[in-house]
Amino acid sequence: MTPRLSRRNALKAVLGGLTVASAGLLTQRKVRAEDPSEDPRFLIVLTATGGASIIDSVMAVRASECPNASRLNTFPDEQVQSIPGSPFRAVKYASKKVGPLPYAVDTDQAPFVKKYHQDLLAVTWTTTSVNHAVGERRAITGNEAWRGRTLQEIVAAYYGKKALLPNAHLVAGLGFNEAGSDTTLPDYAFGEVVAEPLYWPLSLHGTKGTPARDKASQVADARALRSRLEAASEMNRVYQHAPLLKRWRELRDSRLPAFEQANLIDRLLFLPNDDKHPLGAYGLSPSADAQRVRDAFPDYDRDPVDAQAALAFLLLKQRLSVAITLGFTFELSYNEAAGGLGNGELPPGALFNLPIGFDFSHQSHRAAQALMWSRVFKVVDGLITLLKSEEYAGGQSLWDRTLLYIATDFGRTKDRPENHEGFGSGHDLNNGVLLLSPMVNGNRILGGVDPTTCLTYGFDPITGAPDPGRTMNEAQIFSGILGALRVDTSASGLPDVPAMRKG
Amino acid sequence: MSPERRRHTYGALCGLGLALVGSLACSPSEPQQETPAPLPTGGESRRARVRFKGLHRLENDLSQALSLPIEELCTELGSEPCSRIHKIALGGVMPYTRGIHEPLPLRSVSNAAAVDRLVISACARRAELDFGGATPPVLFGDLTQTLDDLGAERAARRLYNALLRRDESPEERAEIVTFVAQQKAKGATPQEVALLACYALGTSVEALFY
Repeated sequence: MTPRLSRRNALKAVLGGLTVASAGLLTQRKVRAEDPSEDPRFLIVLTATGGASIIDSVMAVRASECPNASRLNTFPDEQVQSIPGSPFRAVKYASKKVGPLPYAVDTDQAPFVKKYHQDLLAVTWTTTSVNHAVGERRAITGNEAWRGRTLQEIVAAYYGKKALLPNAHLVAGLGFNEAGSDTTLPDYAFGEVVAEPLYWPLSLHGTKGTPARDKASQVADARALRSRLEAASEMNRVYQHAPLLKRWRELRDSRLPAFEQANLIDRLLFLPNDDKHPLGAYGLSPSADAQRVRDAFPDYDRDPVDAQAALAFLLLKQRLSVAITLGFTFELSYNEAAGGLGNGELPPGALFNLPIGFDFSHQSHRAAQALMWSRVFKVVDGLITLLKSEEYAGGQSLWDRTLLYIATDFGRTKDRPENHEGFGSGHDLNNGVLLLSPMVNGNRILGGVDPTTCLTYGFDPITGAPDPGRTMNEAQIFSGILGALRVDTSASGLPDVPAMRKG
Repeated sequence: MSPERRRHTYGALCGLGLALVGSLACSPSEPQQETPAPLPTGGESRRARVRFKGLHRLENDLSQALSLPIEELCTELGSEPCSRIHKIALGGVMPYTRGIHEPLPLRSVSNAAAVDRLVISACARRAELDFGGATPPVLFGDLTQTLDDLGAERAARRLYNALLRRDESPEERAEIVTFVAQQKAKGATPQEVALLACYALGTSVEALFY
């Protein structure tokens, strides 16, 4: 007997179906809203390698404020400028040489600090190691605060599920680049090293730009042949379960075709199509934003950090990465285009990076810090300008979603020989770091500096009130950064530091 | 003789035997007249430890296999050596300029792409020389205009000898012959077929890992 379908039953069925369907939609929406990778935020770690001293920057101390000024790292009053409408200071410093280097320094931090003070947050801390590699690692793991995960890995794991290169390291070989020790994180969260940012996009496609560039279909046939030949080989039988070969096949057979399909090579190349780089002749074309990034970072083909910054912007703009590490290393970076020694002096613009970076402060603290801070601010300025000009969605810019952390190894010693201006400094645990972002509690210094010792002190992590009896540790600042990035740290056991985030 | 010692002696004899067989098999010859030496029977490797050849072994092997100077293997954009541009992706190190003191683990898609680019360029260069007519062909002389089965079989033998330093198995030979026929049917030129077969074998795991 066929069941009779009454009007009431039919209505019930339709309504029931609608309820189920709408419940499904609601669930989907909820899932979407709860998936952080749908609405990511971005982290840039800029490495100020070697020990960037906060009291040579926005927390500089004037000699007139310090009873022991001649024996501490204080500046003549006229070299420390106040920035109107902000608690920050800015150092204006000039010198005819940097220790033994015949290189003139003439720097002024005021324009940068004035331009970005609303998004600038200085936080003090006292770290736990004066070893470069250890200090660098602790700067990104909060001294192993959350199962040894790095900030970059956490952000990549949280926001980067849909990104092709969630955690890009455009600089390499530093403690800031070390992998964390939590192997339970998904594979995609771990860093991808880019050693040559200028040419690296070429290595995101197996054939484009090669002699087989116009043979896509034939190359696909050849790849299929390769798989059949491998399946038939004795090596395959003997080593079929070798973990390395499994990973290789995953890279080669799954991930590479996805990269090729996304045409990352053309989206990320920022070289000009010219005689030196005849991209067109090889079937390649530069990114639509290539000219913009070259204008922002005009030394891209000489200065490694300019090249890194140019690529960093493209990776963020294309939503390919959510965590990017770039910056200064210990390696001397010399601008050969500036020329050699003339009249016994290095020409202006000759040094992109001092030998051993900020650590050249051992030889000449004040000039090294001034030169390196000016280099850091120049790169940050270029990056923020580009990110502000790029819409994220809903009227927000990419910069509105980005946090830039100027990471450093440790601080520098605060004392100096009596009245010595060209003094050298050692490593010191006491310091502070700079964060820039619309997401941080900007235009603030959290903590302070004691002018009698030039040592920084801490703050109340909840209210942000300065507390001269307290020092902040690595875990607190680490947690504050993640909080500003709205990463869910509820399972981490990290201390909450709401004072560092906006709202 | 202790079991341990017996194992060593047996291993040495086997090694010698394999070396002799291997040396005989190294010169390209008529595939039909030779049965490939059987590899030692046995199961799957328990340890299954393999290593990526890395930049220098890879370049040296390709250079020898394709009779090309290393500097002619691969350039990007006509002038930049692949060994410089893709040094890290190919398993090299840059201790002084990048602080990379050891090869990075194979975790990046650029590893696979850089290998493809290196081998494709090298194979294309060999094919260009062999089919250019200026010098006698070194590797692809058997792939004549007709792309017939016999030529394909001979080419398979030469490719396996050059790139993997062993003879091909009948199954592997059949795969190459079929591939050549398919490409011929699709209108590929002998030079293109040479490049593609060389690329397929030169990027196989046996050519890249040891």
